[in-house]
Amino acid sequence: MKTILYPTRGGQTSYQNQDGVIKLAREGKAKLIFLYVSNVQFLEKLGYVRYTRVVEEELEELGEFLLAMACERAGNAGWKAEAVVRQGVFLEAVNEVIQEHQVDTLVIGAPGSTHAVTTTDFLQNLIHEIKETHQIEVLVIQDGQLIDL
Amino acid sequence: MKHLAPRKTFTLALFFIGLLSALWFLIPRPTYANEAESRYYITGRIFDPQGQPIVAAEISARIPDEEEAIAEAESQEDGSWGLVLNQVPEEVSVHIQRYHFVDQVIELDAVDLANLKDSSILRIEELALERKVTAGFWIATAIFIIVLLLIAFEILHSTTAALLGASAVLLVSALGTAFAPSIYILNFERALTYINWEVIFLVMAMMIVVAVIEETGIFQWTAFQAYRLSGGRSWVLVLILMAFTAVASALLDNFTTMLLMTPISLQIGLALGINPLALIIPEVLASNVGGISTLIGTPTNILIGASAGIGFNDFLINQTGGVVIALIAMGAYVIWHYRKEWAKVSGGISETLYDKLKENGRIRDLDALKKSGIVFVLTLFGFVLGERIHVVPAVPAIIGATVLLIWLKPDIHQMIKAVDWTTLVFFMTLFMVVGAVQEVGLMAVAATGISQIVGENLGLAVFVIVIGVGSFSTVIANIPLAASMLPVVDFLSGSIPGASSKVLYYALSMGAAMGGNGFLIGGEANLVTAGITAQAGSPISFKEFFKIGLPITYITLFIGYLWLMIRFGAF
Repeated sequence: MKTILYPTRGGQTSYQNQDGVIKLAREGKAKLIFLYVSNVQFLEKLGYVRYTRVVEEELEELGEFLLAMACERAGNAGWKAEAVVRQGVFLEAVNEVIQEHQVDTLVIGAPGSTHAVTTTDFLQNLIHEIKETHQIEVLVIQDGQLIDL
Repeated sequence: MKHLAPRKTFTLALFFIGLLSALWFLIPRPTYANEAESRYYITGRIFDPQGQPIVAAEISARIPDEEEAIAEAESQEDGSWGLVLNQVPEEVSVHIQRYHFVDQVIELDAVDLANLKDSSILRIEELALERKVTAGFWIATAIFIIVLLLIAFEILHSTTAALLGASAVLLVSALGTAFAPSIYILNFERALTYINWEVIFLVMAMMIVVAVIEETGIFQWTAFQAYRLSGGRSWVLVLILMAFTAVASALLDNFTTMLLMTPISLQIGLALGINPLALIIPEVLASNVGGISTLIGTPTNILIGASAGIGFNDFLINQTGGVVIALIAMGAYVIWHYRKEWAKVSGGISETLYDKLKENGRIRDLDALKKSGIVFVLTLFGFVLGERIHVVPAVPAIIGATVLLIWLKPDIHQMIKAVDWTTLVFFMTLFMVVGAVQEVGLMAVAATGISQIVGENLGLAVFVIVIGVGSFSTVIANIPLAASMLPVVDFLSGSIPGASSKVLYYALSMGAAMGGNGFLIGGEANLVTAGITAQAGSPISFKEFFKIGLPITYITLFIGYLWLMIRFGAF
């Protein structure tokens, strides 16, 4: 059985892409893993390092909730999904989970038309690095549809 | 264990009493007799052109053709000085010297000297020294402006910027002392006197108290209870969350409140099927305003309270009414602004999500909550009662923090880490930089400028401070803004009839805090909230924030202004 990994922020703008990945997993009868990676580096930039531990704990619970919602979406669409929450640098977390869960396909959300939180350059570099490191299939999804970047 | 017999105890007690009595007689005590008879005192007071006492001026008594002064003194906090002479010479003059002021020489005439001889004391009339604009004035002004710009444009971290400013001031002054007196600003000892240690200790103690409370889960629990109480009606939910955030910000601080409320509010918003920012942005707006009503609610209030002698009760009595009205108006605006969101509410959430929400909104440490709750309430009583016995708020805060550390026995290293030293260093160095521009007279120039605009019109002064400071505070961090404005408000409070009620300090408090709602960069709570929401795929854009923040800023500022006018009868 193939394993698909989909990192998500879990906000409303990612629902469409979540649905797209759920459909992809269901049609391919693949195991689906949602990944949430929190990063508290913004506290360092703001000069509030002392809150790091508290915010990490809060974001972990937030991540679990966001992924519980994503898993529920999968359940409603007739497919089962797993949730993995990690902290730290996004690429490192993705690399870890790919190895731990023997992921075959990584699906990455491309910047949407309005609420982009990543850039195309960032995604291209990320895809290139992951393909080189793990030799796995990397797909890009935007507004619920697979696209070529 | 062997006990001493009663007789032996009695003998021992007698021995100690005898020993103490002997010591009492043996310890030499100062003798005052005859000393005063041969001494003569010349006293006076000096002020700057704005009527503020001049501290640390060098006063000396000199006789003609003598290089050495026959008596020397330094002016005190209230501007008073006193020279002590062992004899009355035939001719004597009093020299007053102070950096950044024109030197003054007072020649004592025969009548003065005769009076001094007769009564041993001569009081010289109060004297206003003229300001001198030196190169140091321009250098200190430039350093001050550069520090503000570095902070405003986030070129450097605010603490680094303030530290840089303080270092530059001290370096220039050191060079001035050695090579060019005209560039001198102030020395290290003088710079230290500008640090308000009451502020430093109060902030530090409250950080420890908050660090204990933040671990208990009370914020998350309240947010979940608000969700339950609202019965799924998101407009009711937002009002409850705003009210709680405002109260929590007043009693603890708005930064921590938003740090802990944002993640759970995000979850509730997403579970309800609405844009979670429709809950979170109103919360942050309420948190910036709620803190105004207490001394410990905002760092600027701590600063203003310690500088102007405004206590916990004073803030509560004089600000709460205005804050409540401002919050009601804010609530109404929020309901209107997000009206489309309220209509979006989904039919309800699944049992799994509800259970997850309940789990995340649980009390995490009930024992710590009970104990910290008791200590916190007692600390608040300490603030209230302390004012009656002239105990500054930093004292009950330090006692409260210490009791918590002893009672709860948290990891002390963790607690020391919980103190935000970056902020404390920022406060200390900022005080030095603001002290530098006070020293050279920049603040006096600003105060005179504002004074010329408002004249003796108290209402106009309140308006200028509330709206002016509020407008600046939308883009400038409110702590440096309030610290810079305090000397100006000091002057205006002393010169405008009716301003002795301290209304202008309250105006400064309202302006600095309410202005933080204008733009995303206006307050630290805004920025940390945006940082957290971005982690959940719901970033707060600059535009989204100011579309609601800016109108609310001016609505609340205007309400704050009207409230102060009514409360202090300034119409």
